[in-house]
Amino acid sequence: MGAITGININNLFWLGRYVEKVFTTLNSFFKYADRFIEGGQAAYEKYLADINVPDIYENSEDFFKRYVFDLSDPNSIISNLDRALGNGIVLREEIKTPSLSYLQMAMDRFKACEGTTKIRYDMLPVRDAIYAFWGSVDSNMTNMDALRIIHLGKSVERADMYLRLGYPSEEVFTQLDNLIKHVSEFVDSDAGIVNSVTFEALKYVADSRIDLIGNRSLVLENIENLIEVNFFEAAAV
Amino acid sequence: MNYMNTPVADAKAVNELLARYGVKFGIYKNGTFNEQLFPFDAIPRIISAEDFSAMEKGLVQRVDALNLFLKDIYSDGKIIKDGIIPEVFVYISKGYLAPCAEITPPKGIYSHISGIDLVQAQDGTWYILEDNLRIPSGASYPLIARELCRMASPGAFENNRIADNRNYASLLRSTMDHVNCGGINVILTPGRYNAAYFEHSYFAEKTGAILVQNSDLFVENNILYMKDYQGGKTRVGAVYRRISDEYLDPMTFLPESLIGVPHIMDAYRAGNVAIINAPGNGVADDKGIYYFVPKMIKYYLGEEPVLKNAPTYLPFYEEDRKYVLDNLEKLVIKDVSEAGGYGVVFGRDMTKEQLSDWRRLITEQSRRFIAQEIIDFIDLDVMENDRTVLRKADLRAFVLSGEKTQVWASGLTRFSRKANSFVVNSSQGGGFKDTWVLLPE
Repeated sequence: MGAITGININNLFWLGRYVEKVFTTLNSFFKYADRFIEGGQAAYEKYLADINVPDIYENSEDFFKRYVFDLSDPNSIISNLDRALGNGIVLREEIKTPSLSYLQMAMDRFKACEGTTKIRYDMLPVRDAIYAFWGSVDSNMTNMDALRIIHLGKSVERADMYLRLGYPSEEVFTQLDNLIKHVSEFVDSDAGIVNSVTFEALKYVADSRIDLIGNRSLVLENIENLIEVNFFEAAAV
Repeated sequence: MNYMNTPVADAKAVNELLARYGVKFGIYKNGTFNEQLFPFDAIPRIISAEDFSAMEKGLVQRVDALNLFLKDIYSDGKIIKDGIIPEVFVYISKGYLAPCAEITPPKGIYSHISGIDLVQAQDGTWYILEDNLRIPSGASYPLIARELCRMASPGAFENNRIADNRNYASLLRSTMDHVNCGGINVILTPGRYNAAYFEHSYFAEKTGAILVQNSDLFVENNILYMKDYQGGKTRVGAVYRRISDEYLDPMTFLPESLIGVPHIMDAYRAGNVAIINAPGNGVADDKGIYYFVPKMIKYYLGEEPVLKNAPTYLPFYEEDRKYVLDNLEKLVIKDVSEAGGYGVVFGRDMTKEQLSDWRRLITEQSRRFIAQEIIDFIDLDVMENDRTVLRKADLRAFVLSGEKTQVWASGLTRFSRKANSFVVNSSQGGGFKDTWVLLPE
């Protein structure tokens, strides 16, 4: 087992979460951007409610601009990318320089897109860089425990976001199955990392394929509490 | 000079790569932390094989003497008893740390990584400008720049016989391994908002050492441990610390330090961990002690110094003080307790009133200052807006002391980005170049 400091565990987990958050929110945002082409008012209010982001925007135009590019808006996509990059910078030695470079490229490209009139096209390299980041960590990282923690963060975020964004049930269940698989590795090897009560609850949700729409809040709560927050906080002290 | 055989033709690509790989340094300005790219100039400084060979001998000699000096003054103090260096330049130096007296570091090495600053005069002579024996930084920049230049401009390396500098990480690793007292190697960083954080993380990546902060370390029964995320502990045998002496251990030095490791000095004193570089080295790179290094070389090694100091005067000595006061207009004055290009003033830039004030200050606080002749060091070509301009530049050579003392065949060439300025420090806007050491024919 490779040695990992408590601070790094925290950073690795949140690196995985933030990179995935950027990727998933970008994809969902693009769907709204597509609807906007013919001039229809994209229902951004519902989108914000789904992802639990307060509606501080004046109108669709303001939402399109600030939600994507405003670094001073803590809920913007670029703010999440900034947090991903910040976690990456303090993990250079774990994730390796090539992996970090893809986050830097994503940020540089993201910033260069501000003001574009063809955001989905111009942002393609941002998504490419994120794909490359995941390929790079899988290929270059030598500390497998650290890699597993990043993927744990990614799978928590993806299951959470897919459920919030109203993805079809089968897709959400696929992500829940994936999350349970990742978490199982920690249940077996590292007692205390996983909240066993919520883990069992999520396994029940996945195994019985219960109604996700009717139980959305409960399932989200279980996902959020799955990884013992205390564990990460304590480890970072 | 024709620069087509250098990465100049591909400078844009090299700079893009430096940005992509996050080659940055941090700087605090008006209380705010900003991270910025370290401006890179694609025209390398080129050092011939013959020049480097002589420089190498001189640097090894100098660092060996400085290590012997540190060993001496923290034990017997023979050099003082023998009247070579006045006591006042040692024991009241800010860099002399009384808690380090009588501690012999593992393998007797104090300065494992020495950054020696040199300049080349117009006649080609190399002069030592400054020794940095505490936490000399900067090797990571030419290291990664070389890698990126080779990627962006391979032709430049096909056509020139250049010593490969990409062995720095393995030199560093073997230096750590040599003094390791049993356990893992770690690099202790104050954290993300340190000016040299890029370097800390890059060296951790390249050497396989674990990058830690103080909260990851603890001492138990005089042994240093790293705690892992599961609550386990791993013994640490060597700490390449990138925090200053005074913050290293709140139980020994500044009690208010929030970035140090309590009792790390106890583990060090017990011989259970190597601290790289050893605490207390500041006494040997004090600008006042610089004056005495040629004497140290003769005293400890019985050799003539290969490399020259810049002509230096100590106002502490009456004869020197008289010269300094009489010739202040043409000298550069340095405050011995300052670093990073701060505390340096040029007599030629002073008004009459300022000269008068400085004469009084130097007379009153003669131990605080040194004065040096201004070396008209050579200007190097630097690209600026697609044309070359001449700028002052120095060279930081890195000397690693492990099983043997070795000079890294490269170095950090820093240049001023302002015309006629001698200040090359990155914290004051300077840029950097790669340093090519040519292989013998």
